This record gives sequence, structure tokens and C-alpha cells, in this order.
Amino acid sequence: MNRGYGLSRLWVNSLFLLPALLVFTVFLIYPVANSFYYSFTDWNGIALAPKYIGLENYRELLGDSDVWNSLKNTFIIALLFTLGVNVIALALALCLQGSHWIQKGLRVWFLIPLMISPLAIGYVWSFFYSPIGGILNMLLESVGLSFMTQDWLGNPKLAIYSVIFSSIWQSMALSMIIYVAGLQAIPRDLYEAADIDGAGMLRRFTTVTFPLVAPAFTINMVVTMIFGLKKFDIIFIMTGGGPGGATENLAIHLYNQAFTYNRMGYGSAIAILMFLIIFVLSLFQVKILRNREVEY
Amino acid sequence: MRRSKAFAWIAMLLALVLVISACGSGSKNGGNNSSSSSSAGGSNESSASGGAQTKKDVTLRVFVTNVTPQIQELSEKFSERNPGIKVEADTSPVDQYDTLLNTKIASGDAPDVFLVYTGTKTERLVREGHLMDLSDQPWVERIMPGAKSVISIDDKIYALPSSQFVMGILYNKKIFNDLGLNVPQSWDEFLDTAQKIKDAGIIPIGLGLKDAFTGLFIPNMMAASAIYRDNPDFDAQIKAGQQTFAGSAWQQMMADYLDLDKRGLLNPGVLGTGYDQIQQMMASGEIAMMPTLTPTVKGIRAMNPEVELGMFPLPYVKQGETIWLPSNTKSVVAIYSKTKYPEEAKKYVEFLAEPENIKILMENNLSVYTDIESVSDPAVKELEQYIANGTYPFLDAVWPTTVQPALMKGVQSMFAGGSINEILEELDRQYQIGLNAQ
Repeated sequence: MNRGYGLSRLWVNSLFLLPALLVFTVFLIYPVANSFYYSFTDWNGIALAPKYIGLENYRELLGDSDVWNSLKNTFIIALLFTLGVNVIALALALCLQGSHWIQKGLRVWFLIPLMISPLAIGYVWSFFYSPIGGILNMLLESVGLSFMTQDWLGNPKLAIYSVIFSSIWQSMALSMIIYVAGLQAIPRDLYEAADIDGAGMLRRFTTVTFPLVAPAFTINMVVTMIFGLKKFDIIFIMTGGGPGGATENLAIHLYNQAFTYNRMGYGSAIAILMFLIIFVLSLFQVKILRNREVEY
Repeated sequence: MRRSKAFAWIAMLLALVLVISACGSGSKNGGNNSSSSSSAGGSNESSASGGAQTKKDVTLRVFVTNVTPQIQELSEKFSERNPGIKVEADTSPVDQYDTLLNTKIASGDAPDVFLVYTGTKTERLVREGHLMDLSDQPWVERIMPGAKSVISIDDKIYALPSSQFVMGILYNKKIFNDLGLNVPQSWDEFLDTAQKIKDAGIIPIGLGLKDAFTGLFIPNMMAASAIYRDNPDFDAQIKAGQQTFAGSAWQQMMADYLDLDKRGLLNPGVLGTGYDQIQQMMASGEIAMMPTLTPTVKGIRAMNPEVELGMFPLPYVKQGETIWLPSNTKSVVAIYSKTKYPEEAKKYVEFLAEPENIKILMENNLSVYTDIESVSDPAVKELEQYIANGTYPFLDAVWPTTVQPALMKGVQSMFAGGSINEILEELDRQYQIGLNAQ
């Protein structure tokens, strides 16, 4: 038994932990627990005494076609966002992992979208995508591709992809930085060994780089998946969930139900559903990805 | 080692539980019994000191949006005239106002005087008992009878009205004059006029459906003439279950609405264009007509002072029939039923009700008081003559709160290719849900 490790040491540790634990509990655990409670009521946001209605909200949301539509959109957005960000970020990281000043400069350059407010990004991209006088359409016309001009945000089939594209543009740098860190941790002598064995670029990537960047891969996949599932602000600004629900994911749907339709109880039930989905998916992802992490 | 670890855990949990129960009990009491942890408003300190001391300065908390600069100006004037009553005017952006107000009321931190929107939103607050009955106030007699019936709930008045505003079609007078066009008086004439404008290479009608609320203008204007002129009890019938949106005149209305797009009379890419852009294009003369509210005129003139504007009601009628328009009475404020300063709050509202002050709050809209004359923009005045023919409130004032959002989404769906039947059925469904929630 260590000498200085008595009760007083534990007290000190606990005391240091207490403020953070307090903030976490008050601002996260308590509201989440409250949401859980409200999801079993029909609260409308201003009534002083919400009425308990049991599982009625859950029964309703399972049969609500808007919820199923939002669920579908949530998965489309999360999947494409995760894939898009990770592929682009890894590609960029592979090119920019070196220490040349151009590479260092570009790493910072790509980070700029991440530093801009998502609302500003959403607004500017909306202008970019505008059907009349929008820059994207004007660019296409000027290079003779006017047959490709679209109503990028107004066409219900295209809108979701336009929004996903903007949000990938916004967030890819964060994953890129994590990949750069992961890549820089791979010992160079492994690459030398691969060269000696006559491995080409692709072989090098699949047998050395990709397996060893697995920890960074795990983090990025899990984090981008969670962000993708929760996307709200950029969708809200660019389309508000429209046109006609084409870009409405669970977060937007729950916002509308809770604050526009004044159905706080129902909105809370949708929120709990979202929480469960994200929780289960993340656990699942971490389990699978952790298993393939290789020790060298 | 293990025992002390467990002990430390239990001690930490106990500490947490103590703190949480303190916070929890503060908010559960509804906030009016001021406990130490509830949010401190200016009024809390004075109420705690209460009767034993001499009368302290009263601070009225006012919460508004939209008319913020006017309220701030008037609040200062009020405080000058009434030393001893300070007014703290707080504000928020328009689209967060409802949420913030509801949060304040629910957490027991309700302001003494706050802005309310006419119709079902106010009705909700009345049903929950949050608003003070103001029917006995001196200014009530000066309200025009038409406006009075619009803002009454169960024949009682709960809010101070300031003005009325109307929906209509804003049009560019220069384009009409150049092409030799007259103001259309029937639906066929309207389509004809728009077609002539299109043939001249100008966008006839501007609609910014990316901002879903713009989709509401045309249905509101159509409904006023097509439904409510001849059947003012339509809403009562829906409430009683004798009517539904599906299978009513709404089917034809929505079909004609979509028809505008099919004929190419709307701007290209309606769903991808926002309201701001449409207003800019109206100001610059790229669009000849746009459906909108009378308050918008001021903003467009600010974008381009040279533009010649006029307004006419959407003539969704056959030749020779009367056109009705949607008109909304704007309320300024209501008083919180459980305010600690009812007399001071009533005095404040009475001050706002004085004619010179109402004129400031009216902005560019039309009057609702028998002793105040409308001083409005020439384009708005053009519409005033039609008000006498007949008006109906904006639909969100008479529907349960769940229906208008469904209509906004439905209009977008319709333009995206959705089925009109499904949209109307969804309106019916949301009507029932909203009715039950009230």
C-alpha cells in the first residue's frame, strides 16, 4: 500500500473532480433525464402541469411517416457525410503529411471553413446555389455547361446532396488534421522495408499505411458518424428541412415538432429516439473498428 | 483501499444530490415564491422587502419583438412622465420570440408586459391562464368594431391592438404603365395580365418558396374570396367536424395555385429562391408582381427609392364578384396575469394606447381605432378602399397552431410534385391534433 495514499488523497481528488462533474450533471444529465420524463407526457411547452400519457408518443412516432422520412434522411446524410469527409480527408492528409512549407500552409488553409460560423456558411452556400443569379449556375453557364444548371436547393431530389456537399466542405479539415497526426506516427522504416520488397504505391497504402492509421480511422469514423447523425444548423439555414421535407432529418423534425407545433412531449420522444440510435450505432462502430486496430 | 474508494464515491454522490435538490426545488415552485436560486429579475428584490418598507421604485419588465425601437422610445417617455416606475424593455429576434416567451413563462420568469400575436397563439396563453383580462380598460371603447371582434377571445379583450395589416399583390406601376396594363379585377384577367408581362420578357410573379412562409400568402388571399366571403362559418364547420380541407374549395385553390407555376408565370426555381432575393428583384424591377404583406412595402422602397409601387387584392373571383382580403389586427402587448405590478402595468398599457403613441406603433399600417386616421404609404392606401368590401383574419389566427406549419410544408411539397389530396388530408390530420392539444 502506498504511503501517501490515504483517505485525504481521495478527498482531494474528488474535490477537483466535483466542479466538472457538477457542470456535466446540471447541463447534460439533468436536462436529458428531464427530456426522458417529458417524452412520456403531452406537454405543449407552456402548461404548468404536463399530463402523463405513457408510451403514447412512442406509439405515434412509430407510425408517423414523417418520422420514417426523417430517419431515412438522417441515415443518408450521416452515411454520405462520413464517407465523403473520411475519403477526402485521408486523401488530403496523404498529400499534405510532409513538412514542406506548402504542405504546412495548405493544412492551415483547409482549416478556414471550420473556423467560420455554420450559419454564415449556410447562408453563403445558399446564395451560391441560388437558381437565379447563383454563382454555381453562372459558372456552369460561363464554361458552356448550361445544361447542367439546376435548382440545387429547390429540387427535392438534389437538395439533400447539395446540403451534404456544403457540410463536407465545412468539416473535412478536422478529420484531415487527425489523419495527418496518425500518418506522421507511422515509422518510416516500415515504408523503407516495403520499398525494398518492391511494393508499388497502392500496395504500400494497403499493407502499411491503412492498417497503421487505424486508430485515427476509428476516431474519425465514430466522430464524423455522430456529427452526421446530429446535423442541424447547416440544414436549418440552407433549406429549413425543405423542400417539403426532402432534407428534413430527425434533428430538424424534432425542432419543428417541439418549437413550431408546440408539441414538446412528442419532440422529446423523437429526441430520445435519436439518442438511442446514435448510442447504439456508436457502440457498434467502436467495437468493430477497435478490433481491426493493429499494434506494430 | 477499496473501502475508502467506495466511501469517496458515496460522499461525492451525496454532495451532488444535495445540490441538485436545491436547484430542482427552486424552479418547481413556479418561480413566483422567490427562492434563492431562481433567476433574479429586477422585481424580485422589491417584492421580497414588501410591505414593511416605504414604496420602492417599481421596475416593469417588458418583452417585445418587431416593434422594439418604438417600445424603447415610448418606455423612456413613460418613465419620464411617471417617476417611480422604471421600464426595462427586453427584446429578441422575431423567429425566436415565441420560444423565448414560452420558456420564460414556463420557468416562472414571465415578463410583466409582453408582445402577443393575435389569434390562436394568444388563445393558448389565455387558456393556460397567463393573460390578464383587460376588457374594462378605457381604451377598449375606442377600438373599431371589426377589429374588436377579431381580437376578442370569449368576448373578452386580452391585448392592446395597434394596427391592421393586409395581404395583397404588390406591383410595379412602371411596368404596368409601359405595357398598358390595368389592375385585374378577376382571376382570368389576372392570368392574362401575368401572361402579357411574361411575353414582354419580365418575370410576372415572384415567389420565394425556399422560405416556407411565403407559400402562405396566395392561399390566404384565395381563401378570403373563394371560401369566407360566402361561408364565414367554414372554420366553425371544420371544428364541428362537418367540413374538411380535403374535398372542399381548397382542392381547386391549390390546383390553381400550382397552375401558376405550370403556366410559367412564377420565377424559375421557386423552391430554391428565398424571400430576400425576391424582394431585391422586386425593388430592381426584374419582377412585376409579388404577393406580400403591407408592412413589406417600406423595406422595398428602402432598397430602391425610385421604384413605383402599388398594391391590389388578389382577384380570385369571377368577373364582377366582390374581392375579399385577409386582414390581421396586430396586437402590441398583453399583461401577465400573475404580475406583481398590475396597476403599474395597466398604466403603462394605457399610456401606449394614447393616440400619438399608437401612431408611433402603427408603423405603416392601417388604423384600428375610431379616433386615429391611417397615415400610410400610397401603395398601401390603394388597398384601403377594398377593406370595406370585406376582410377575413389571417388563417393562422383562426386555426390551431399545428395547421399553418403543415400548410407551409404542404405548399413546398406541392411545388415539388406532391399530391394535393395528401396535403389536404395532412391539414385535416394536423387540425385534429392541434384541436386536441388546446
